[in-house]
Amino acid sequence: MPLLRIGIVLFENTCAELERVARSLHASELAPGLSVESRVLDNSADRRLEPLTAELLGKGVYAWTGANRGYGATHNRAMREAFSAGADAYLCLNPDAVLHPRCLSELWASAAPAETGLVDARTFPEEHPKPYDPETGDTPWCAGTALLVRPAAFTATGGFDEALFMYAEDVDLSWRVRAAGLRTRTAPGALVHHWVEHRPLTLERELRVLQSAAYLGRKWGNTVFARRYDRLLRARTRKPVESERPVSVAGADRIVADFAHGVRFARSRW
Amino acid sequence: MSAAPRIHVHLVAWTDEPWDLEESLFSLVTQHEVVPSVSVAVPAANEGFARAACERLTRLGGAAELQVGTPPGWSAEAQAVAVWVAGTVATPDHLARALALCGTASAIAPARRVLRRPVPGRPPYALRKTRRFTSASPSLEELGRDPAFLGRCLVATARAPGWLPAHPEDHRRWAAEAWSSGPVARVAGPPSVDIPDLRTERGVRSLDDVRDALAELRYQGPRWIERRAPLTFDRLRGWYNRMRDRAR
Repeated sequence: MPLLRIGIVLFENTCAELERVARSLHASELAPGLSVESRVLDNSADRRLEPLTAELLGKGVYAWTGANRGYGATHNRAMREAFSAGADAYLCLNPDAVLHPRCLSELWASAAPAETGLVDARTFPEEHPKPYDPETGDTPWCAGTALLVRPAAFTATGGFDEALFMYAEDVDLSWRVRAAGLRTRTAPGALVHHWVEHRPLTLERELRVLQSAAYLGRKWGNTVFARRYDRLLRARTRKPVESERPVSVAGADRIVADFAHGVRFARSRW
Repeated sequence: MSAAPRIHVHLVAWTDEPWDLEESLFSLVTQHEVVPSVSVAVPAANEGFARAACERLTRLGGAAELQVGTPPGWSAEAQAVAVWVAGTVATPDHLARALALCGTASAIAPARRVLRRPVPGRPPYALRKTRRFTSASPSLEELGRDPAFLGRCLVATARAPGWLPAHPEDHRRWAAEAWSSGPVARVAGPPSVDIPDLRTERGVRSLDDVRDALAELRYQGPRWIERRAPLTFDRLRGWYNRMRDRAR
């Protein structure tokens, strides 16, 4: 029986958020024969959410990491666990998201073709403006809100780049998956409610975006793009910026990267 | 703690597109701080699908009540009424923000038009979303160029016509009755409603169309600069904010 492991990484989330996401998991319609299990890794300062997680999702699901290791590093740990336990796919799911009841079955159906590496759900009510092919679902990169990862994609890439603490780690993973010859798809019928547009852009969040953008530019060989965002980062912080030196991606693989559309990393439909 | 206010939403499907219904219902069950009572009017052939959609979205556990069919009216507890065409989608705070205005006027939310392409067996593909110009007190003429315009409006039950509209011509008649019963005002802030672009004529034919184009340009222009020259954009934004603060 195929197994889908759902990984949720917590960091100081509210009980209401955890309740909403758990309720949506329980309301999910599953593809016939598909088995689903959850894993919750908590990067919070304490284990406050452990009892509620056990109540909502079952005992043995929760693990406290003891430190905030970031989205990518924590999902990598959960993915290693999942694939070594024989999971056929792993879903990175944001704790502040709500799955539409058909989301899991639509994601699973879109992941069926053998060459599929990643499949993302369509964010709702504000759909991401990056394009996808309405017939095949092919998309330049997959968003991390509800991101299904096939074992082949994890094997080929090792998962997220852990140097990217927050933002653009999904873009980087998608490009590496495509460079490895696998496909990145959107499942148009998979809706995930994730409303963040009303949240204020704090300076901390803005700096994280700029850091990640500059890092991505350096890693994928676009020095003009990297310099542009490093300069902006310096202007925003008003002090010299320590730039991390990533391992550069091989020249032939750089063809999949798109730096022509700023930090959207793809043409925008709107 | 007082109970969340109740709003009646009449959701009308004009097409056989099941995803339009699904997305509007998903948007309604995820509204914050209000309890939507939703009546769903669909062609008879789609009633089975509509019932299944209502049942599956109720499982998400929100406070919304969903039922298929057109009731004779709304419950006495409802404080306001909205009429959505299937395919309309709103931000989770839309109904609560519009309701806050409903004490003094019928509320009109800023909106975007969504031009879609049907895809057999899959959800329609959104080709573009464009911002609409919304004046401070929008006229029926300004709004009515979009057949699905009622999705932007919320009318207090005391001022709402006592019937629920079905066809496009009913929507205009319903709106005309609502407009004649009191003032109309725009909800502040960015667009909170996406309405399906169901127009048959999309050319620039009036001053309102030009205003729409300018509203879109006003939004997209800075985004265009931000993507191509982020440092220049950051400096321009800084100057703009300083000038605005000085003017206050």
